[in-house]
Formats: sequence, C-alpha cells, structure tokens
Amino acid sequence: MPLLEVNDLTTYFHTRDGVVRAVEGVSFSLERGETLGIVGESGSGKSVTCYSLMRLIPEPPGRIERGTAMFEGHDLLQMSQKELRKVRGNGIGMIFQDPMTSLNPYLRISTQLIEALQTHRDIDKKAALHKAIEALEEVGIPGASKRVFSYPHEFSGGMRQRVMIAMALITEPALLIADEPTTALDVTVQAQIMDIIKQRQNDLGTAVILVTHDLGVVAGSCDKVLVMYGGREMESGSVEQIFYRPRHPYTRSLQKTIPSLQTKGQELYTIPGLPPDVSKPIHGCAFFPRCPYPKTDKAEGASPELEEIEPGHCWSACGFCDSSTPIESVLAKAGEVAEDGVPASAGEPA
Amino acid sequence: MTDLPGSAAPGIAEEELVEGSSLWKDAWARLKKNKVAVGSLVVFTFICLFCVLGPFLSPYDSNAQNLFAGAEGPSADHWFGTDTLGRDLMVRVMVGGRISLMVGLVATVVALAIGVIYGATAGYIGGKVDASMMRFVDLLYALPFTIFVILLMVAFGRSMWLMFVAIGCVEWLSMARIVRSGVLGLKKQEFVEAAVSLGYSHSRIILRHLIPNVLGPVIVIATLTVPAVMLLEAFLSFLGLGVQPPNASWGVLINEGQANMEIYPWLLLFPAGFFAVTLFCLNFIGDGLRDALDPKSAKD
Amino acid sequence: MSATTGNPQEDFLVLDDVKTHFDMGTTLFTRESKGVVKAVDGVTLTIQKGEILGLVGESGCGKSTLSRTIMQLLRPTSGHIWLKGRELSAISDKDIRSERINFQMIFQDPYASLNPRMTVLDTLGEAVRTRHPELKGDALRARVAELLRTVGMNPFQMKRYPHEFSGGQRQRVAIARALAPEPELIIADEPVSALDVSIQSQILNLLKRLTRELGLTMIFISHDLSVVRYISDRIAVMYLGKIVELGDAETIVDHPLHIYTKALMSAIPEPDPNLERNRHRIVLEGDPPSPMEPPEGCKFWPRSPAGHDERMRREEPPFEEISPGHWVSNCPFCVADNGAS
Repeated sequence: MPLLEVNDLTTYFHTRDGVVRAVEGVSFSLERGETLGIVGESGSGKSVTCYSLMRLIPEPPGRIERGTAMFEGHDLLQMSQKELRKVRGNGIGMIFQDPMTSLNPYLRISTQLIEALQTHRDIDKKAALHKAIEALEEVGIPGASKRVFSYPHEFSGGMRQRVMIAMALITEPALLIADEPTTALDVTVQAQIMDIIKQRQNDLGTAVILVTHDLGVVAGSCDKVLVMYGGREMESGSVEQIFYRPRHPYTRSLQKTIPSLQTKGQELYTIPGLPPDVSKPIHGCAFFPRCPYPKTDKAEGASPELEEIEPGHCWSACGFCDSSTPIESVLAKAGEVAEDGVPASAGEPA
Repeated sequence: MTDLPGSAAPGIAEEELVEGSSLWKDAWARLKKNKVAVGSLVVFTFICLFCVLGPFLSPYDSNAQNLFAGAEGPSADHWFGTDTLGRDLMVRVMVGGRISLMVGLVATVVALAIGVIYGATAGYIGGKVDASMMRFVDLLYALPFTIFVILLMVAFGRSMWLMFVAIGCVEWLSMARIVRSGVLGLKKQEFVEAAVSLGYSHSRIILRHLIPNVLGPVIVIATLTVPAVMLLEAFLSFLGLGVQPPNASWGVLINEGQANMEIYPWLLLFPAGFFAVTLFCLNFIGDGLRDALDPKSAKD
Repeated sequence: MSATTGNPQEDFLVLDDVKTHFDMGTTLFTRESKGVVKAVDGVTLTIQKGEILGLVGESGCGKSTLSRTIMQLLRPTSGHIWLKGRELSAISDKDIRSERINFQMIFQDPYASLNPRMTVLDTLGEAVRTRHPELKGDALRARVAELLRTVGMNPFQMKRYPHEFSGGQRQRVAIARALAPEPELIIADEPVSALDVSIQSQILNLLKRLTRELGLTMIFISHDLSVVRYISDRIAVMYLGKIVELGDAETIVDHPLHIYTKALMSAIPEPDPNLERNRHRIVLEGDPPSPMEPPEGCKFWPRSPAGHDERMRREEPPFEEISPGHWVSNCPFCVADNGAS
C-alpha cells in the first residue's frame, strides 16, 4: 500500500466573480521515502493541491469538491478537525515558501520547537529541549545549543528555512510537504537547503512532496514528477521519463523554454499566448490554445484522457495532436516561431 | 530613436478603443450588489430630499408660533404634531435636518481637504519635515476639544460657521494620519519610483500618483466621519454651544424633546428617529464602501 | 583600480569608484552610531554604447542600490558617474529632473510598478510628454499606440487599467513606459524574476530585440546567471558592494576565474536528472555576510571552501585584468584553480 494515494482531488473556490477551478481531478501516489515533484506555473494549482491535502484551504470560499486522499489507510479529506490535528505536524510536516512569515516572531525558537514536539509526543520539557537542539544540529545550524534560545529575527533567511525544516521534521513525520522551499532564497543558499532536505530524507525515510516551478530543482532531487497546468494533471512519471521521454506538448514546451538549455545567440523559445484563466470552465485540453503541435481532426477526441504509455508514465492525451514527435522537429516544420512568442491574441486581456 | 519599429502607425480613432474598467467602476459594481448599502443609500437620499425640499412644500413656517395649537399630538394637519410653542414639528425636523446634514457634510469636506493635502505632503516629503508636521497634529490632538470650542465661542461669539471650523479642525487630524501612513506605504511602491525616475514634478506625483491611491480608505473614513460630526454638533448644541433656538438642528430638537419626553413623547421620537436612521444609513454606506473598495476583493 | 576607469568624454557610461553608503543614524540615548551599510562600496565600470551589461549577485550584494545610484534615485556618497560626457553625480537635485528622460528603469514587480488608478494611455501618455510636451489628443494616442505595438501589445487596449492585464502584459506596458521618453540607457532591475517561466522568455526576447533595434544601452540586473548569460554581452559579478569579476558573457560562463562566480554557476540547478546527480558542486558555506559589517581583506574568506591565510584576511585583493577584458578581484585563494569544472 502506498503511503499516500490521492485520487480525483478537485478543489474549487467559489468567489464573488464565479467559480475558480483551482484543482481538477488530480491523482497521484507516493511510496515511503519517495520524492514527488509537482511542477507548474503560477495558477497551475500545484500549491492548492498541497494545501487541500493538509486541509488548509480557507473554507469558504474554497471547497474540496470530490476525491480521496488515503494517508496510511485514512482519508485525509474526510477527517474530523480532531483527527486532522493529529496528522498535521505528526504524520505530515510542511514547510512554506517564506521562512520570514512562517515562524512566530515573538517566541524563541526553543519554545516553538518544544511546542511542536510536546503537542504530539508525551515528552518532558528537558528531553524536548534536548531533542530540539539535536534537530537544529541535524540541519546544520552552528552552535545549536546556544542559538536554540534565539528569536527568529536573529537568523538569516537561509538559517530560518533550516529552522523550519528542523521544526517540520522534529516529530519524524512520514511525509514532508515543501511548498517552494527555496524560491525566496539566494541561489547559493538554495543549493544548501535542497541538500539538507535530501539528507534528512535519507536519515528519516521521509517521503517528500516538493512543489516548485523550477525544473532544475526537480531534476536534482525528485524520483517522480507531476506536471500541472490549468489545475489539471498534464503528465506524470518517473523523473527520467519526464525529462528524457516527455510526451505531453506542455512538458515538451516547458523544457524548451529553460534559458540554460538554449544556445546563446538564438532567440529563446517561448510558449505563445497566456496561461489559461481557471475562473472560466476549460473544455478539452487546457493547453490546447497554446499547443505548437499540428492538430489532427478535432472530432477525434473531446476531453483528454489519461493514457499510460509505459509503466508509471501517464499523459493527458487530448486526441487533437500527435505529440509523439519531438518538439524541435515540429517547430522546424512550422517554420519560424512567432517573434517574442507574441501571437495575434497576446493583447487580449487575461 | 524616433523611429520605432512597426511604426506604420495609423491614427487610432477614439471609438475603436476598448474601454477599460477602472478600480472605481469595479468598486461601484460591487457596491451595487450590496443590498444593505444600496438600501441605506436610497433611504439617505430620501431623507436629504425630504429635508431640503420639504419646507418649500409645507404650509407652515418653522419658526411661526401658534400658542393655540401648542403641543398637539400627530394629526392630519400636523403629521408629526406640534411643539410646546405650537410650531409644526415636521417642518422643524426638516429645517433641523438641513443644518445637521450641512454641518456633517461641510465639516467633513473641510476635514477631507485639509487632511488629505497635509497628510500626503508630510508622507511624501518624509524625514524631519514629516516628523515636525506630525508632532503638530499630535499637539492638536492633545487639546481638549470641548475647552477649545468654548474658548472659540467666548472669543468670537456664537456662530454656526465657527462651529464648522471648530469641528473641521478636529476631524482633519485623523484624516491626515491615515493619508500619511497610506502615502508612506505607497512611496516605496515601484510605480512611484518610476514616476520619480521619469522626472515628474513633486505636485504631479502627489496629485496624480499618490492621492488617487489612498482615496479608497479616505472615502470610507469620510462616510463614517459625517455621522461622527453630526453627533458632535448635537452634543455641542445640547451643551448650548452649537445651534441656538429658535434655529433648529436635530440636536436642538432632541434636546427640547427630552425635556418633555414624558408628557409629549413625539417631540423626542420624530427628530431622534430621523437622526438615528440617518446615522445607521451612513454607517451602512461606509461599511459597504469599505467592502467594495477593499483591494483584496479586486480581481487580480 | 583606476585602470578600469574609462574616458568620461569618450565612453558612454563611466562609473568611477562609486560608493553609496547608508548611515543608520545614532541610537536615541547614547548617541552611538548604529553603523553604516556599505551597499555599494567602490564600483568602477565603463559601458559602451549599445552594450548589454549583465549585473549578477545575490540579494544584499548591492546590485539594486547600484542601479538606483546610476538612476540618480539615490545620490552616491562618493565617486563619479558620467553619462555621455555629462557628470550626473555633479548635477543638483533640482536640475537632475530634466535629465531623467535620458535614462530609464524597468522594475521587478509588474504588479507594483504601474499606477493602478491610471489607464495604459494615461501612464504612457504622461511619460511620452516628458520628451514631447506638445503632443496631445490624436497625436499622443498615435504615439502611445506605436509604443504598444513596439512591445507587442494590442494598441486598442490602451484605455484599459493595469489590473485587467496579466503579469507579462503589465511588464510589457512597463517596458513601453521606460521607452516612452526615448532614453539611451535602460536599467532593468530583475525584470523577469516575478514572472512565470513561460512568460520570462517572451520578455527576455523582447528586451534583447528592443536594445538592438533601438540602439539602446542596457544594464540588466538579475540573480540568475542562466538568464543573464542569454541576454548580456558582458557580465559583472557583484559581491558585498564590489565587483569581483567582469568579462565577456562567454568568458564568465565558460571560464570563470573567481570561486564565487564558479559557485554561482554551479548553484544553478540543471534540468537534467543524470547530469544533476553526478555533478560536482561548489557549495558555499553560510549566507552572505551583512554589508554593515563586511569582513576585512578579501570579502570572501568567511564563506570560502578554499580557506584564506592571514594576509588575505587583512588585505584587499587588487582588481586586475587577467586576460584582455577579463577582470577579477585577484585573491590567490579565490582565483586559484580550485577544481571546479
């Protein structure tokens, strides 16, 4: 039995301006000790997916419409608040993008770590403090036995994110959800933090869900990848499958846009057009309006269906296009990419 | 670089342009969806029209005494009844309402004008100028208001205009503080930096780029200031420092009414009722505006 | 360091030992100084007309302060800045306003850099009139339409407000506003870091094309070397208020000398799983030190995996030209062959 099995997760926000379909029928599973990367641009629903699992969606306006999320045999989406409190911080730890705002500025680090531990463990204060210092040492904070009594503002951004990791992992949860943990940090610090997450994961056997927009971070640290766009799953599979044998036009396009992969002097490849507006219903493939692949007869398929092309490798097959050829040959055939990727419709309002 | 590429620019005719929807328009659309606020707006408009136009339509004069018809209850002739001197209460409520509403609006506009310009200037210049300008505000805050008004009255004699000035002088202080803190926040925004780097003049930056962006909360505060000012006027009149009989304001009428409240309750009920409904309406409108102008609910 | 200084009369933009310090004031009672933040601490740089210079560094390295100093939004504490032979740093605060149309800035956050209460037409029209105050009505609209077409936007949207556009479109409007006064120098401060990956490349292509077609000179600031590499002719790497390495983009990317540049390069995650798993990383220790208390000597020693001897912890290394056009802060420990590929 996998550690976490999410099936058909669907989260909508019912706002004044209509229904925002933030997550639409997302499914994935995760084994113990595995790392899943959820990749997507802003508005792709990658963060909402994680917040839905932790049941941290503000309700209202948000609502989990349907789906199941079996964690160690229990459905997270059906749990009572009491059961949830037991799982949060104990079974599942979470770290957020901004380490500045996710620690309480008025409490010492020691207090916050001890509180996290005592909430879930029957442990006396002295032992808890000892464990807290240990946890800080394990994430590479020098002089942990002294610094444990500092306040959050006495740490730099990178150190604070380390404290967050220590806090999320102090109860040794089976699953760690990391929502863009390095986006707010400098590149040199980014690498340190990713190393620490990986190392702690190896020590504790924790499974990790890593939410990010950075394909490079995924390549370095994930076993499996879920590519999201417009609130839906576009493609999923092992990291090798996604990076070396991508199938979906969106995955292929996204890979093509990364500046470091491109030869200097050429124009950067751009995906024409704009991301979809999830406050309007999307019919068919969400990527259809921006898809560079030549379209076959449109009558063939109406709504895309997940198709497994090799074990564990699924893509949302829309039936409109034949995406089995690499994107380079498609683009070469199409002649020239539109200048700056500005199609005629780029001036339309979002 | 006068030749921009793609500059085969044909004339752009005004009519062909897609009209944008400003944040003000969006806010108005949201306000229209708020039933309580719209209802309050309708009632408030009705009360204003009633007070402004009413006296012209009524056969009675607000100060004409008729001692033979003193303190009569509501009747077909006098819908709201008459007071102890036989004056028609409905006309007096209308005329009193004119003064109360005028005090509310004029004092608020005065407070708004001074507060916005003062606060925006202090916030924009910043540094020592800001510090000394705000210390001056603190100083005025510290003045006991009642004593300040009594002193003014003693020095210059009782006058309604003096009361406007006195109230305006007090109310602009909080307005200035709100505008200043708003401007301080906006000043760090990149669009203000962009305006500076385009070499715009200081007055242009303040008037075009800063003030329109703090106006949202200011309008909300203004709608909530109107009832506060009206209460202040009622309080001053109650103390005998505001509008003096035979002139009427709602404050004066309520004062007269409460003296005879046990024998002639309508003398209190009608002016107090109008006053209360007006205050409710303005508060609801203010709340509605706050929701409508809240940037968080703006689609982004 | 004067060797890097260009000729103010001939070169397009010349910075000579520019320093921008912030005095944090004194404490309330004891009157002790709270310290001085040396955000920019002696930058010497020459930029030629038509060039794109990439300025890279981590947060707090002073790259944004340097850009605002060149823009004269902040005035330098010491040093000189010449633009086309005119010394900007010597012009009074009052007279600088009329100079501003010659250099413009593109900001990081397209959500904050446009006035939400003004239509695109108002915003751009106002900016156009800084150069052409006589333009009004139809003529002004035609000019704004032209600008919008230049940045790839539909000119019929000019009466719309910023909130009606997406982030990428807003950034295009912000670029149009910077072009409106017809400047010769553009400073782009992290113009793509707030945008989604797929939109980033659109804006990068646009900026590169505009610079070439309009003959602009651009300083492109970013923390992301992979972005800077694509757009720049030359790259300057900044650390703690100083430039540590400067050279052609290819040279800096392919043959970096300073360990910090190498670390920056190796910190960029490669979107290739096998490569990423097997590569050798130069991992720096800790965070960048505070610019309030910069270390003495080679500013890099507290984070360097190479270690520094006593001398380099006291003496500042010289900024030297190692090969033609390739300058580096020549500390023997930072620049030695430290085994990075």
